Amino acid sequence: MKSFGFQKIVDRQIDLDKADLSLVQALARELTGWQRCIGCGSCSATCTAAGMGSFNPRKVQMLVRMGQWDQVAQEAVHCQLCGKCRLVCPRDVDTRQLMLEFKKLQTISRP
Amino acid sequence: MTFDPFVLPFSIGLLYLMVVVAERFRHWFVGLPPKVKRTIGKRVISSHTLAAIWEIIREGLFHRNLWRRNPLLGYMHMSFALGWFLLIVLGNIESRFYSQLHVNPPYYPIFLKFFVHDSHVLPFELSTIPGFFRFTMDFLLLYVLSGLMLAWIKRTRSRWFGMISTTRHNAADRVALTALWLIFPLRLLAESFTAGCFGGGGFLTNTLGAALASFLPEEHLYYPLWWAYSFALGVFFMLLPYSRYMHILAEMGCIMLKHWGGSEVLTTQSYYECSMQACSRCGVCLDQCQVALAGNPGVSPVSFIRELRAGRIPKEIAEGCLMCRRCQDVCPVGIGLINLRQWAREQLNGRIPVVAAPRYSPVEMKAIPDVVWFAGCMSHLSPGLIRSVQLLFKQAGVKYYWLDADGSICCGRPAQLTGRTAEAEALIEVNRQAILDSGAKLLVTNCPICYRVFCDHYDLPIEVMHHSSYFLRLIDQGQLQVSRGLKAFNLHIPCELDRTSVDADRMKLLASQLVENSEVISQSEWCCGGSLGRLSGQDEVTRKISTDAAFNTAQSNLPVVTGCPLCKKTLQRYTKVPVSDIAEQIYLLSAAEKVN
Repeated sequence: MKSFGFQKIVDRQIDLDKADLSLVQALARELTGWQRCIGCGSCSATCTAAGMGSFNPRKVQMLVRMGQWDQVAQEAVHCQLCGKCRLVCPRDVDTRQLMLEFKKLQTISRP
Repeated sequence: MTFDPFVLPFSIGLLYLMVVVAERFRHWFVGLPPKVKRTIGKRVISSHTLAAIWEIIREGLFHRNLWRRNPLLGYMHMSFALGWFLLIVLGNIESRFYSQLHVNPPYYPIFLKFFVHDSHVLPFELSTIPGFFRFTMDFLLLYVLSGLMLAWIKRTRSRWFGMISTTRHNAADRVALTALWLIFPLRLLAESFTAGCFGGGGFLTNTLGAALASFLPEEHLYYPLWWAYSFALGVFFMLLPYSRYMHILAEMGCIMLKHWGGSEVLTTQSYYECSMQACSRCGVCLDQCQVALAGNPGVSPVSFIRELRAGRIPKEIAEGCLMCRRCQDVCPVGIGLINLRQWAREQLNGRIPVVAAPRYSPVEMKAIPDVVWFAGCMSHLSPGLIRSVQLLFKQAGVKYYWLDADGSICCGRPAQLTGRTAEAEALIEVNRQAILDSGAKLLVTNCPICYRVFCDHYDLPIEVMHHSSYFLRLIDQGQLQVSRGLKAFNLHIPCELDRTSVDADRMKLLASQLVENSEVISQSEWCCGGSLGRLSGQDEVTRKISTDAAFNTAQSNLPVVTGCPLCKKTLQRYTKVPVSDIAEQIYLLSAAEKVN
């Protein structure tokens, strides 16, 4: 089937009623600049780690917003903390700080 | 028998101090890694010890660094340190004339004037040995008291001492400070009143005692004053290990460790603990800290060390720092403030075992190049810089291999600054291998951030250069011809190049070769505020730091030339004057030379 250009799409629905968003709210209170993010993707466009693989900072922060902790843990480790994303952010969000905090989520008990 | 109950507070305090301090030093020594201990063992009997003693005399007693900063500040600190030290030493020698014992109890020289009333010696008599001592001891007391007066003035008039802001103290510091400030006036009064009652004393105590005897009942007052003097000393000694005055002893320990242990000792837990005690809270760093100047003095090194001493590592203080090194450059004690902050960050953020394996695909090479060039992440955001460097390499006929032409992994320095050392190590290992595989004998980078980590942590067997140093070399060797065509400009020295290093000097030299008259360059050593060292903090403070930096860098509205792509991008946001990299300027000048 693949040779015809078709493939099965994995179901990507998320039940937000089941996701625990309490941690997201706590993070948002601490990372005040995060609220300014408009999801433009400038961070992903310049990302050093993205050039080497499938890492995508914009996707990671969306996953956090949706409480998808398992995926966040798998993704955030790839960030190299170089800070290019912070420099290009049009909304002046400290994206590097966000990613550092997401990395640290691995060690605290997640919902 | 020379004993009186009033010596007890002093003696108990001194004994307590000695036990506590000996235990602390023992703890620091035991905590050293075995390798450092062996180095220390080898160096105890060597010229290193002499060098350490010389430094202790120079900095601990004379406070040379503080004199350089501000003579009044230097005098104040020196009067306490040198004055008190000489009082103790000369007091001990003086007491030998009056004692038949081989070993005196420690309190005997301190309270000598209570036990011995030698009224045969005239106050101004200098020709006899006891008379000389009597005069000198009074003179030294006056010297310490003059410093005390300055310290008192400094609390309200810190600007006279070259400082805009001064430090605030905690409870133990305040009580110890009060005790210290009382010690010398009480000594003066106790000795004067005794001299007034029994005769003796030097030019100061004798005169004052005689004057006060006319209207004060000195025979009732002198004994309580000796009690008060002894009590003040006892309280000061008891509190010394828990207050900032621990720096008197810890600074000596730090200097000894530094000279004996070499560079390895500087990143050990023991040295961190010792050096955080060695901070005298003089507050010199406060005026250098750009975060403090922007309205957040809590982040300054002196506040940070106060928290560390209390056993706390507050996140906002450890992470709010720019890591710009301006404080470390001026610290009179020479504390490794950047290492200390780095250590705190490792405690906060470093305890994560998960490490991502970076992926890297080096390009195939045809021949071994002269230079392996690592532009760095930030340079990729500055295409003008990349283009200039490429064209300059071409002009100079340098065979280069561009390691991160297709983008690369990060050098590891940013991860290191966050305290995630294990992650940084993984990146360093991959990059290091790629650099070695290139076979070149020279690594050139455009980014001072990368340069710092290449120099300090890569342990490369080849030479590493920042592009400013490399182009200076090419110009000196005649491979690049550059006209002196630049007009007046502001030269900005990036923090990560280390202002005190030879690299910064080379950059200044290069800048001076681009203009007709080097006097037209004004230098700026302000951190741009975009530093990757600042991990968190209020946005308005960050903006204020950058605004201040841009204002102080772009003086007289002249263009700014820097050597760091991150500084360039950050300063561009906050100033209207053109900001460019030094490589871009060299390219423009060399192209002009070619046309001519």
